[in-house]
Amino acid sequence: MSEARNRRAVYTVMSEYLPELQLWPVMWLWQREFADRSPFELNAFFTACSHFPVVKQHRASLYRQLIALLMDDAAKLKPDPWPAMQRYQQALQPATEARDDAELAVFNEILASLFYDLRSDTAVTVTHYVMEQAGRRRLSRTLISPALMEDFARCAKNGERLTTAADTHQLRALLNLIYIGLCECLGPVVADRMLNQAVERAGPQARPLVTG
Amino acid sequence: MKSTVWLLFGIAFSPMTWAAPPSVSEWVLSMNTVWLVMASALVFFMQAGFALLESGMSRSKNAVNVMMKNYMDVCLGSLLFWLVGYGLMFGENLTGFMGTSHFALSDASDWDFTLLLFQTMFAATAITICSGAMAERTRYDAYLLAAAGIIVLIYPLFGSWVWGGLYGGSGWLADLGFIDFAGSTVVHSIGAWCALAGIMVLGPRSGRFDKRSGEVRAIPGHNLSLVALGGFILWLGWFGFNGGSTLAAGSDIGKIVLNTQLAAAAGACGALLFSRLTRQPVLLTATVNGSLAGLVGITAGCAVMAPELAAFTGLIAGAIAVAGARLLERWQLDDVVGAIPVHGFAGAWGTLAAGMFVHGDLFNPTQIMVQLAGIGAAFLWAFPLSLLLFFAIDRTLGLRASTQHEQQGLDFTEHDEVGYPEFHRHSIIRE
Repeated sequence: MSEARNRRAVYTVMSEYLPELQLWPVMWLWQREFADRSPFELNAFFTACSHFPVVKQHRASLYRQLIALLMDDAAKLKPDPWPAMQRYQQALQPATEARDDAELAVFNEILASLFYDLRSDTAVTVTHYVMEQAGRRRLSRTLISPALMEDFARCAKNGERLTTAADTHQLRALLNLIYIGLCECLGPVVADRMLNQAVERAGPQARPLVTG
Repeated sequence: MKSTVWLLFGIAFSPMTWAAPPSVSEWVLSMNTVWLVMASALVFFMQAGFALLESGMSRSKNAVNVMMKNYMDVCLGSLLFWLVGYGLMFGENLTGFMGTSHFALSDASDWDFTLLLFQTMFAATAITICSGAMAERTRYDAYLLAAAGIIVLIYPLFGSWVWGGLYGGSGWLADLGFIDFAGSTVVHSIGAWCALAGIMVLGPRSGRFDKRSGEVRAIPGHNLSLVALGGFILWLGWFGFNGGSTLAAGSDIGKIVLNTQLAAAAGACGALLFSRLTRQPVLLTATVNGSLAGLVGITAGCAVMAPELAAFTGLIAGAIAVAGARLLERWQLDDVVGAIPVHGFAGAWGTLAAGMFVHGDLFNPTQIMVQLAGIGAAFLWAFPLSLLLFFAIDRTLGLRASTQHEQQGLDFTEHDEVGYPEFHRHSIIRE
C-alpha cells in the first residue's frame, strides 16, 4: 500500500472530525512519525493526538473507520492532501524562522565539523550516497525538501553553509542520511566517533538534532 | 540450664521426631529433586552469562537493549513454556510429532513440577540465542513477538520429536534412536537456525560490510571484560545444563560434568589453534566463543562419550566456531556475537560426534545416519518456519529499527535510557 494512499485514508477520516487548524498538525504528525509504520501501529497515532478532545472521544470509531478505509477501495478516499500540507508548512515558516535560523547555524557547525575531517574523495562519496538515498526513499518520506537537498549538494561541493530554512525533523533526517553515508564509507565505528565529536564541538544546542 | 532441658524435651517429643522415616524411594525422589532444582538454578544463571556476553559484544549505545531482551526472554519464556510449550513438548505424544496434554500444568505430581522448572530454563536458553545474533538493529516489540513464536511453536514441537512422550507415546526421532542427551540440536541448533533466519530478514548493521568491495568492517564490542565474565558464567551454568539432564542424582554426573569441562577447555584451545594456523590474531571473543562451542558440542554426547573423545569433540567445535564466523562474514551475514557458528554449526557437529563416538560402539553407520537425519530435520523444521515468522513480523510490525534509531542507539530509542550516561551526554540530556 502506497504512502500517498495511506495519507489519503488518514486525511479522509480525520478531516471529518477536526477543523483545519487542528487537522494539519495532526496530518504532519502522522507524516513524520507514522507514515513508514505498519497499519497495526495506528493505535499509537491516535494516542499521540488524543489531546484533541474529539479524537479522545471518538478514538475507537476513528480507528475502525481508518482500518476499514485502508482495506477498502481507493475510490472512497479524498484526494491527497500533500500540497495543502506543504502550503500549511510554508505558511508557518515566518513564525519559526528565528528558531530555524539558530538551529540551521548549529547544523552547519556539525556539518562543517563532519566534512572537515573527511578526505575530499570520501566527502564526495558521502554526498553522493546521501543524494542517492534521499532520491531512493522518496523525498516526502524522509521529510527532506528538494530545496534542502539541492542546498546540501551545493554546500558539500563548495564547502559553504546551508541557507535553506528547514525544521528540526528535516535536519535530523538529513543528518541521519549523512551518518549512514559515513557508516557505509568508513564503517560504523568511525562514523559514531565522528558524529559524537561533531556534536560535542557544536555544543548543547546540537542535542535536538541527534535525539528523537 | 532449665530452659535447655525443656528444649531437649520438646525436640524429643515433637511430631517431627516421631514421624515415620522416609522410604528409600522417597529419599531418592528428594535427592533427585534437590539436584534438579539446583541444576535449574545453574541453567537460569546462564541467562546472566548470555546477557553479559551479548551486551559486552555490542556497542555501548545498545547495551541496555541487549540486557532487556535477555531479561524478557526468561520472563516470556517461563510463562509461555508453562502455558503451551511444556504440553506440546512433553505431553502425551501418540503421533510422534507433538504432545497433547499437560498444558498450563497445575494439578500434577511434585516431580512434574520439578521437570517443568528444569525444562523452562532450557526453553529460555533456546530463545536467547537469537537475541545476540540479531542485536543492535532489531525493534524490541518485534523481537519479543518472534521470541514468543519460537517458544510456543518452533522449539517445543521439535523437542517433542526427540524428548517427547513423557506422559505416553514417544517422538519419531527418539524412536529412530537419535542421541541428543542435553540438547546440542534440540536447544542450541534450533535457537541458532532461528537466529540465522532472523539475521537474514534483518540484514546487516549499517556499514558492517563495504557494499562495493565486500570488505568486512569490525564493530568491536564495548566491554570485553563483560564478554569474558559472561563466558565464565555460561561455563559454570553448563554443569547444570548437562549434569541436570540426567534428571536424577546419579553417580554418572561426575563423568558428564568432567566431559563438559574437558570439551569447553578443548574448545578454547581449538579456537586458538585454528586462529594460529590461519595466521589470524587470537581474539578474546574468538577464544570465549571457542569454549562455548566446545560446551555446545559436548551437550549431545556428554553421557555416552569417553573423556578423550569429549575433549576431541570440543577441540573441533572450537575450530568450527572460528571458521564458521568467517564463513558467515564471507556471506555478508551479520551475527553480532557469533551465535550461529557457536550454537548452530558446533551444535550440528556435536550431535554428529555423539553418534560417532558412542562409548563401546564407535562409528556405527546406522547411528551416524540417524544423527544426520536429526540434524537435517532440525534445520528443515526451524529455519523455514522462523524465516516465515520473521518475514511476517517484518511486513506487519516491522522487524528492523530505523536508521535514525540505529544512529542514536536502541537504549535511548527503545527504552529511553542508556547504559553509560557519562559517555552519551548529548544523546540523553533533554533540553
